[in-house]
Amino acid sequence: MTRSRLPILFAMGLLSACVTPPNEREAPLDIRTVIARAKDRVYPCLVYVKPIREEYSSGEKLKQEVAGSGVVIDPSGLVVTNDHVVEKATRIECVLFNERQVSARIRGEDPETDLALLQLELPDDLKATPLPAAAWGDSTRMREGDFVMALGSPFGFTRSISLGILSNTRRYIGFQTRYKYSLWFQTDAAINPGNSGGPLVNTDGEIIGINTLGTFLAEGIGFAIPADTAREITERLRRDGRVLRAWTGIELQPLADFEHNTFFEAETGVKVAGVETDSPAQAAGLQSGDLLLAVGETPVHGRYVEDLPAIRRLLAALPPDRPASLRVRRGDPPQEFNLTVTPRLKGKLEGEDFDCARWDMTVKEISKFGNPYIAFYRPQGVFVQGVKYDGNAFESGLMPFDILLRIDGRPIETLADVKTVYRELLTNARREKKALVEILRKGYRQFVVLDYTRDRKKEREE
Amino acid sequence: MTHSPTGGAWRRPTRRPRWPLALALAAALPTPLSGGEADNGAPQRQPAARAMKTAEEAPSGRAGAEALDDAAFNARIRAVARDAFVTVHVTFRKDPAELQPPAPYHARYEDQGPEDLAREIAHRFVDDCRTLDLPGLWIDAAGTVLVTDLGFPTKLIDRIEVRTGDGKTIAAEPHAVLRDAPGWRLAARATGPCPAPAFADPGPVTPDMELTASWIEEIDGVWSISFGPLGGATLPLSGAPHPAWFRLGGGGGAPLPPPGPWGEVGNATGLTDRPLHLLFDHNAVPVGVALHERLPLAPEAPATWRGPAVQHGPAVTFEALRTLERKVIEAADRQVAEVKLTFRMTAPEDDADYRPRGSAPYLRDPFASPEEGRERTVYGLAVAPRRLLVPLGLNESLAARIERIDVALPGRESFVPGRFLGAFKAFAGFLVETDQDLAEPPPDLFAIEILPRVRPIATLRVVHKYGRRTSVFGYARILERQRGYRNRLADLPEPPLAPGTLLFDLDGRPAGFVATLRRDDEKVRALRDPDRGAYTAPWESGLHAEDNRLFRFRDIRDALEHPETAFDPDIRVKTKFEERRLVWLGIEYCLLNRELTRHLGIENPTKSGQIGVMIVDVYDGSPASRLGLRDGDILLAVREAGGQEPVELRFHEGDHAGFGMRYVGSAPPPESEEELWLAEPPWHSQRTPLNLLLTSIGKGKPVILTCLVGGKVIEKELVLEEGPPDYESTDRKKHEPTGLTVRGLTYEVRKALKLPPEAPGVVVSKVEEGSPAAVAKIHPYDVIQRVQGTAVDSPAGLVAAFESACAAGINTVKVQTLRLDRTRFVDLRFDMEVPAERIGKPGSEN
Repeated sequence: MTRSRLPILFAMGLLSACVTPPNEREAPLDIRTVIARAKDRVYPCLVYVKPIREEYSSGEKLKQEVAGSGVVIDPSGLVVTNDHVVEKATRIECVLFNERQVSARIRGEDPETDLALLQLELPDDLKATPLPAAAWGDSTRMREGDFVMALGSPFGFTRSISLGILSNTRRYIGFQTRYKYSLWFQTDAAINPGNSGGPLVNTDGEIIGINTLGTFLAEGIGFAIPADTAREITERLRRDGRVLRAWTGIELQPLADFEHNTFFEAETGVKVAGVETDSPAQAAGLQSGDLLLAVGETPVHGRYVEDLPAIRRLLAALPPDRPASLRVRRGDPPQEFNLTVTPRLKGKLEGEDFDCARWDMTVKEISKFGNPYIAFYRPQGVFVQGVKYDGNAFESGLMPFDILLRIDGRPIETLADVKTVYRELLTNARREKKALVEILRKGYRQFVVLDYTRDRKKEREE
Repeated sequence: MTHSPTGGAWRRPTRRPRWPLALALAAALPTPLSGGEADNGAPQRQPAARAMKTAEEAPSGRAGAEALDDAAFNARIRAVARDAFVTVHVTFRKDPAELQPPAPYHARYEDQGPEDLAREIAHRFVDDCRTLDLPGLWIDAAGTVLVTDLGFPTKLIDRIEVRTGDGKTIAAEPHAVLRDAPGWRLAARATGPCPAPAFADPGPVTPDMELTASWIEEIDGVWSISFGPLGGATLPLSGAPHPAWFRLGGGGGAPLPPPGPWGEVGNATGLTDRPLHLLFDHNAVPVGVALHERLPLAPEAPATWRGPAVQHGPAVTFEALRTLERKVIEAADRQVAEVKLTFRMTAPEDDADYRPRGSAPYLRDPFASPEEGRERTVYGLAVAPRRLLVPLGLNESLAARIERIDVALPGRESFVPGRFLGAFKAFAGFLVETDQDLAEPPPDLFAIEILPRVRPIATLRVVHKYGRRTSVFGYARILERQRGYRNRLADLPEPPLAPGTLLFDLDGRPAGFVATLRRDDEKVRALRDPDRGAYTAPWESGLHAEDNRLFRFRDIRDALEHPETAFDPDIRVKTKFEERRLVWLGIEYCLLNRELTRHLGIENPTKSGQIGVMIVDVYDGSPASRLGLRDGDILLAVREAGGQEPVELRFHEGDHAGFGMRYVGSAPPPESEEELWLAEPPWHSQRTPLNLLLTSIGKGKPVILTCLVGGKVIEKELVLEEGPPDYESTDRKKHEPTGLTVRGLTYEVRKALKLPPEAPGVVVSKVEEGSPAAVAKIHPYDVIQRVQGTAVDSPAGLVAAFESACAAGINTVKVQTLRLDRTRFVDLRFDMEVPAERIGKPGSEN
């Protein structure tokens, strides 16, 4: 797991349950029969996903093998899994029910909901017969207490099943994580690392969730993405390869904010806690303290924090090419504001990485959404992600989270700038192997002379 | 400590040329001086000196004296010397009040003075069962022995034995202190007449005078007589009859045994330079003694050397000294009051992150550790019924923190309040004033005109030791003078005296005091060279003894009568916030290093990165912006206008807390971005070494900045001004019911948080655990912008908003907070239980 922002939650996978044919639902069920039938429907669709990913946080590019799970949702070989399983993967191998290992490629990713769609690259002999695919269930009909099963590969133990119930069907975990666009299922079916991306299945053998997170030091607290969310996102990924969301810059706060023990006097609507600087909302004239009543024709109800994802989705769906009307109460009577989302759609959640191997450091593009603290100082640019602790960058005095402003006098605005300078400096054999780097460290400028005279990797190999 | 065991008061090195010819030892004398003359034929006298004396050239004063040949001369001298010299063996005992010498680190808590050295040394002798052995001289037949002034308090002496040349051992007691020579008379219980030399009057001193000195020294356990001519006379150039000074270089003095405790005794008390010589004229007639390595022979010279004068001259008995001690201490009980200073301590949260860890004196906080204590007790002499003079140093940062002063006389139960009047510019001392008549000043404070040379001066130190007032009496002599600061002659007392010592004449009249001299440029000196900043270490008396001076009260009469002109305007009591206000230039900077300066091609002006800082940001409206300084300009040095040497900006990473610089011993880098933000405040402390340096120089002072701009070294003039309040010095308020402590949004905070000058808000500096603010998840460094929809502009405004809500019966207020770029609303409730002792103080200042 690379999400350092999730101290307690981590991704897992769950096994999913079995299916009962309709005419037998009313009869008292033998739990073993139920499990067996559900399992039979989904078990063949289970995939063990093994990506090789590149990891940049330690100051050098390292390859890591990650294990997760997925489920086939289309006979052509589309597999749903979690984004955190396959992000930054350079190669993905999947093990199918018939013990065949095939490669896969990413068809689309959505980090905001932690979903990814893979396309299995089936060899010819497997293309002939359609793959068994699991069916989506209706997650809105699930209730707390319903039996569910989690399928997946916890700790690499492939094709495992665990059984539990739904502990909660409307869980908001946006405080501890960045998942602010959806609610989650909470279950006590065992979810462990390796379960990530696997299906959570009801007694009918339908996918009603995608197992994603566990809770550190807790037992029986795991989270899955509800099927309706997963289905919708998967469709968009299949169609567009990504999910575009509009960014308005509105910070929402529920009317009854138990997290902060803060409550607002209003029956409907949602509180605008703040408006980000230089955002479409600011340009439209919204202010913190406003009560947002409707987006377009749709009234908004944000009483509890669990209501916020739906509102956010509403705002995220605003079209980029025409203004939308927001009805707001700021005093009486309510006012209308026109908000235009162009041209900024919400960009990448995480910037791209680059390994400056000779300098023994890795850099990353600043992403406003992925690196809010760094982006505060410089919304666009490149920062030092990791520094090897006996490397050239470290010895020269560079530290993680330093923002690069200039290297060798050349301004650094994008990752491409870094790559260009890096290659030019390294290929110029005549110049001395030192470069002046101007950085922003916690908002204050400093200068460092990066000395890369030593080729430490070579030294280690010799 | 005035002395350290290994160092010592400054002494001019004594030249002791060793005569290659073996002048020592015509007669080898087994311990002690016993008979037997083995004349090994070595010439005893420099032929050249003798050769001068022909009958025609015989000095006029001694016309007709017989001319002696060398052998007879030597024999006569030896004979007299052998009888006259004795060896004196002092056995010490421990001061029952001080069984253990204090460990060095205790010195910070209790006053140390020179007498403690004596005690320490005594321990070495007592613990090692050793005696102090030195030469003595019979000076009369009744058994009076002359020795050099030992300088020890007699209570440390257990017994004294005198051993004669013919093998007798006689007990002796200290009898008197010579008034006009640095010596003691011992009274030996001799049973028969003692072979004192028959001194003759040497007549007037002329440049042609020839004297031979003899002495005894212990070599390999054997005391032997040596003699040799005195070194050449030094006369002023005018040629008129003037005091003639002889150095005892010729004979080599009477060196004391080499190092070990003995050597330290010698170094510390000056005994090394205090030989005991018996002087003979050219006819081998004893004429005088020498008790000091430099011998002024003229009639009006301060130190007695002529034999008859030594024999019969005035002396002060130890008994009389004890009487004087009682008299002086009694008077001091009426005239010297206890002054208890209570200092303001800073709260740990204010300083922990921001105290720079440098060695430069303006960075040093003498009360850095809580062990130092908030209170110091010192003693002041009444110079007027309501004014006390305390001859101890208080530097700016200490004086600024005086919270209260309480004064009491011994025997009185209660203290009366006092106030700090000011500290003097010329010396390290300050005046305290009370509202009621407290003590009687000595009636004849300004009577004494001179501090006499050689003559004993009584000294009194009133100190606070082991929790109570202790008066330490002693005496010292001014034997030498030396040129010091501004070429002025300074008296060098022996033993060296600690600041705070009061001086009296032998009748008990006040004469003066000892204080550390202050120099005009001491602040800048200290800034430039930390080791020489004597004044910046106020409680370390005599750190550099050469800066301790003897002052007569007459010297400071004007200063006492018109203190306002004599006071240093920079040393005064300040409020907590005044104290923290900084002089500023208005820049953010980064340090240079060798690589960087090489890369930028600025090695030369920055001395390879050792000096200079590079500007990386300039605050609007600041002195730097008005001077036209910009990013990339480099500041090299600063000096006060008026031509002194500049202070180079020589800063170290370690002095910059919170700059996020990597230096040895620093914490590992943060793991996550959030940690990056939360670990330290997002802004730099303005208590940078640069700002502290400028503050040390002082606001209002014109200075000249040496800068490197566009590759050229230029100078810019400006008058230092006090900056606007910064995070540490701005007002703050704590609101107990909510548990919030907030401070105003100062310029550097606004800049770091990208808040325009007009943006409202206060920044949270502390949140009490478990308080309503903590429950609402407000964190330090959040900004509170509005309360109940109304903008908040200042800490007082925040508290007022809370209070008015409370008064209106609202027990929950809505507060708008800002963190990074994120705004949030938060309910703060007042109705949570507040501990009883905090009720009634809702908006207390911290």
